[in-house]
Amino acid sequence: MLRLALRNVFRNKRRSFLTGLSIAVAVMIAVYLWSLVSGILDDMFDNMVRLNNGHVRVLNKNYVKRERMMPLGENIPDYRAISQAAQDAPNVTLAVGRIKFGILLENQDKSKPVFANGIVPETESRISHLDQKIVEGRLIQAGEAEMNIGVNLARDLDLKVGDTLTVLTQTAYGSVAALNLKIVGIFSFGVQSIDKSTVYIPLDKTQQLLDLDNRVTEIFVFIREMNRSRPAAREIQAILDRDFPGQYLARAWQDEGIIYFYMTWARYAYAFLYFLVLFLSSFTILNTMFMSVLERTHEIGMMKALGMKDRQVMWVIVLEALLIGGIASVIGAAWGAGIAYYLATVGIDFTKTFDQMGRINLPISYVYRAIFSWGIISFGLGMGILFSALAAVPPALRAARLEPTEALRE
Amino acid sequence: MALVKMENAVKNYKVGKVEVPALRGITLSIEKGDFAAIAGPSGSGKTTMLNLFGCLDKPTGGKVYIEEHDIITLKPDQLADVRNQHIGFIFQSFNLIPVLTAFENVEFPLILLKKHGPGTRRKKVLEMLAAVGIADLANRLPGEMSGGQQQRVAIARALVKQPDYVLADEPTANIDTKTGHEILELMRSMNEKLGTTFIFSTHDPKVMEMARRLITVRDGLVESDVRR
Ligand SMILES: Nc1ncnc2c1ncn2[C@@H]1O[C@H](COP(=O)(O)OP(=O)(O)O)[C@@H](O)[C@H]1O
Ligand SMILES: [Mg+2]
Repeated sequence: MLRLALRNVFRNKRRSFLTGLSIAVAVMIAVYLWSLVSGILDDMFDNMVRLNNGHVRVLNKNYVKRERMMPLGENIPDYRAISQAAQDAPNVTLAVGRIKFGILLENQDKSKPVFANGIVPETESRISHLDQKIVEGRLIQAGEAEMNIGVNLARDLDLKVGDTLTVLTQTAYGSVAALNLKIVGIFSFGVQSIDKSTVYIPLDKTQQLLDLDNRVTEIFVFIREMNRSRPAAREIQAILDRDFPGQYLARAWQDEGIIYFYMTWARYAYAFLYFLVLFLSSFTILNTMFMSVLERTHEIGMMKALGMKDRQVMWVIVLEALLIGGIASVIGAAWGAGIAYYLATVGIDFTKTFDQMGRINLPISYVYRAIFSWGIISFGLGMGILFSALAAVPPALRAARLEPTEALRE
Repeated sequence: MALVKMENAVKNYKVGKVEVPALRGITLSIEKGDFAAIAGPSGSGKTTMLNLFGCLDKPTGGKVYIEEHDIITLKPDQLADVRNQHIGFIFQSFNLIPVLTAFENVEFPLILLKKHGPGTRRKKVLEMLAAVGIADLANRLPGEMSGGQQQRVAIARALVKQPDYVLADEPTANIDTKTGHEILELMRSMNEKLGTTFIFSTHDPKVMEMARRLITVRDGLVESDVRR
């Protein structure tokens, strides 16, 4: 039977080749696009978590309601106690506070509103790896009136290491405050939203500037395994509810509305595209097998007359489609794996594109890298074969239902 | 003993809303060892009769018995089994599988039969190809053979599983007279040597002459049935 199916594949070489080609191309696209999309999404989540969230974030309940406005008044007075309690929770590796606020940066006639992060320089290396991202100068030090700014921001405002600027902001109590800060280092995360509009200032100086004493607006908690964040958040919440009933919220990164939204949306959109490509290409198999069955009406009638059963007839047709689809899927998966490997090692540079597009409020890196995963490759291969087999079912049923007397009529 | 028999078999075809009678009550039994021709003009019902003998179709009235089974009661898979195990077919236009060699075409029904291993199959196929006189063409594809040679392959294919009887619908209609004569000679020698029962249809008087039993049909009825 296999021999028969194989020979039938080569009966119309051109048609089988074109059919196979379309399946191969579809599988290739499916494999490399998924590798790339996974790479981009993973990178995006990693950036989001490291730069905006931590694994679990502790907030004042009232802060959550107006997070966009960064309400400094809704802060965490019990910072010391909470970070200590969180540190003592199982699996927690780090719990450290920070303050996110808005400032106006001015240099000569140019000015720009940017996000400022009050951070603890010593622990920041374990959060955003800021220390490794400094391309010029050095990391800020606690207690000093210093700041680190992003490369794009430095370029936009003509700022250099060594420059001292007056920054303007509003304190927690609504009064205007100003502080002279020296630029001691310039960083590059390779992430649009950060490099263009973020500065880092030591937490203690920030607290001074904003009249916040020992308070922070958020606490980033890191745990041993990122995907165990939800149970960890529940444990911390329990501690918070016990010690400070009704005041604070501990939220895992998966439950941050925006991350979750982008994650699901991107995955669904891509899954749809993935199956659409396979679905469309499987029509070539459907069409080819229908033509093949039609051309072979006589032959199929004869085989049934010789005692071939309906099931066996179906199997011959499906096997033929499986051979075309199987070989094509292997080739397509190999192509896709090749492209994915290239994209994983070299990456695609979007620097120019992003600069032209202007500001995007997503932590997307300038260089996309695909993920090279055997799982993605073998799934693509399997789907190619599955869709080929499924597409052969209608023509195979048609063949099986042929009446030998009708099929044999001269 | 009757291998296959019809009792008042009726077959009507529906063409749109009209019923076209093809067989109008045929009673006939084929005995072991028969070399029978069904003769009659075009449209007289020969093919329809062979289809019923071949379990390819069921009668609309009356009975057809094969090995004492009433074929009306058999399911499609059972009919396929009966065809596979008991009946050989030779078609007017040979109907070989074009992508398989002569050898593989003859082997095909044995594979469906699932009774023999590859070694036995090979031996049987080669013997049969030799018996029909084309042992040297075993590896040729149908497209590389003449009509007469293809029909010999078809005969080998019909006989290789040693069926109870072989049905041939106008086996010589697509080949020239001389080759047709040879083909019929071959069938008759097989009938004599192996005792295989043959039922074939024809409207060629020369072919009718070679039959040892001549069944004449007209308008769906048996007109005469003579043994010689
Ligand atoms: N599938 C069919 N549908 C309708 N009419 C048919 C069909 N097959 C045969 N007939 C009719 O039945 C009659 C007998 O046909 P057939 O058995 O093929 O005759 P023969 O083989 O002797 O030429 C003819 O009138 C033919 O038109
Ligand atoms: Mg006919």
